Amino acid sequence: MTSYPALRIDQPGLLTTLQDWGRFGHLSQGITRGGPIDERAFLWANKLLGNTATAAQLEVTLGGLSVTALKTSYWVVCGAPVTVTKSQQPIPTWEVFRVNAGERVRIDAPERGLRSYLAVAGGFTARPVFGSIATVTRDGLGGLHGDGKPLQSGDELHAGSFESAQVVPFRRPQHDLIPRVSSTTELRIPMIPMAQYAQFEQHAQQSLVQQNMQVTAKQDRMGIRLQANQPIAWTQPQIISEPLPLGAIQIPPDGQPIVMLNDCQTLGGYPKIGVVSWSGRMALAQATAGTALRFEITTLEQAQAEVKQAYRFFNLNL
Amino acid sequence: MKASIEIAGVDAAMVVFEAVVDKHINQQVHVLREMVIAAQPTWLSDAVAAYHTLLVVYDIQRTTYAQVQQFLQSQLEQLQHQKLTNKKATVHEYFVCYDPEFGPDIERVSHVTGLSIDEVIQRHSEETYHVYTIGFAPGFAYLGDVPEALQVARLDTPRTKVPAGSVAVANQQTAIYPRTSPGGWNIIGRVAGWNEQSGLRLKAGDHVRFIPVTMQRFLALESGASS
Repeated sequence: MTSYPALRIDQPGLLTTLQDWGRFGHLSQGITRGGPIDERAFLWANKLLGNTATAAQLEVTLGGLSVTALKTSYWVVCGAPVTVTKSQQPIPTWEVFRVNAGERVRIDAPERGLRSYLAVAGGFTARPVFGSIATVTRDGLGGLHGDGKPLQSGDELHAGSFESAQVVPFRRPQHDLIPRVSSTTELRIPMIPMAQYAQFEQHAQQSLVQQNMQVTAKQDRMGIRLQANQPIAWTQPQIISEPLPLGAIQIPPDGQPIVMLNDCQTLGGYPKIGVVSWSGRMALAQATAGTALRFEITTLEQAQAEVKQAYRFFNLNL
Repeated sequence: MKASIEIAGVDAAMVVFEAVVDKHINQQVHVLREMVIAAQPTWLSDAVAAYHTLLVVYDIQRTTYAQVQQFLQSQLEQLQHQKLTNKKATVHEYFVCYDPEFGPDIERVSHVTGLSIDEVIQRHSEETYHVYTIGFAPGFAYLGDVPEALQVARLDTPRTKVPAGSVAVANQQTAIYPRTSPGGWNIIGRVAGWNEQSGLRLKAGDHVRFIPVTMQRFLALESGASS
């Protein structure tokens, strides 16, 4: 496959990683999936560029990324509301733009939210490790050099070839389709009761959905710790470690829930009370510390219907 | 053999056997996993065996939970009629140096258990261990069972850096740290010639044996492995 030199990292910011859709089929070796935390923003970026749905992008956490284009191409930035500049001129996010070789693009710290996705026409390329170039720092897998390291100043990234006829500059989603990131309204997080749910006492089941919780600063690509005024009490003996699904809500001994994200370990020893739906997980992907949320119970049917709809819309066939 | 099938995620089901750490039950989980994979359902994305549970991840664009549940139920029924233990487990043998330089907790383990250091080494290395499951990190195999006399609790404060290849014990479990990482288990030795790929060769259901070697032999094996 031909590829072209796409960009050079001048400043990586706090944490910029290369992510494709993730590493699948290796959970039994203890290898987690990785991939974009905000899958919706990621899928939008590829859709707008006419890339395949899973083409690799840069996931930029809390901004601070500065890059230089190495070839004329088309790019887009989706995700958190953020100021993006090209040659020091602000340009809109969620809209495909043309970039010329030598131009500098900068993503500032987001006004709200956490993560931005920089996608280029053709998608970034790198040597896949276990079938994926998704960067998982804790597994030491993926990324530009295959060793799980985040991107650093001076790194040069290549991208796959693309048909410029396919790329439509200025293409952006209808305004009402761009997911809103709010830090003031309380998030509604749909969840399906599962695993040890029935073994929690009734008051614990109730306090899960009858109180507002807060997102804390203790969060990364593995998971998000929440703060609940009334801790969720587990009164049974410790459980034996089990496979840990994406989106699981774990209850550690202090009763403060942890929602597991893409880089979570493959096994977990804490009881689980539920699993967050896709839209719930996408909302949490941009939730900064202090964001209020409330869990609400949904059904598996509903949770699956929304994922199927999204996959159809984004033309994602795995 | 009783087992239930439960919802485990938006695209996952879990088969749950009796909640005990038991080799026989664990073996059933591994056999069920092999049966599920051998049946090659088009919707199968992943199957992960832990101690008494099997997570089955499915493609929701190709199937429904009800169909997966039905499939797993019929596999469970077949499992009941299957004769187990006729399959020979793959055995992995590792040379381990139990010198305190590589096993900084071996003196503490000796103190806590009341066994001499030589007895700790003997007890740890005379057992054939069963790989219950793999997780926590790529290639981190949970091995058991550690003889009762050698069982020690985890460290109160985990180390921030445990070197790759370190052999550790915690309660009824023992393990080899597949890569340098934080860790809270008692480190009692180091595997000679270990590299970051070594752990990925282990599969749940395999057997592991440790063979004690002197520091001199360890160093010879290390230089042989790197040349």
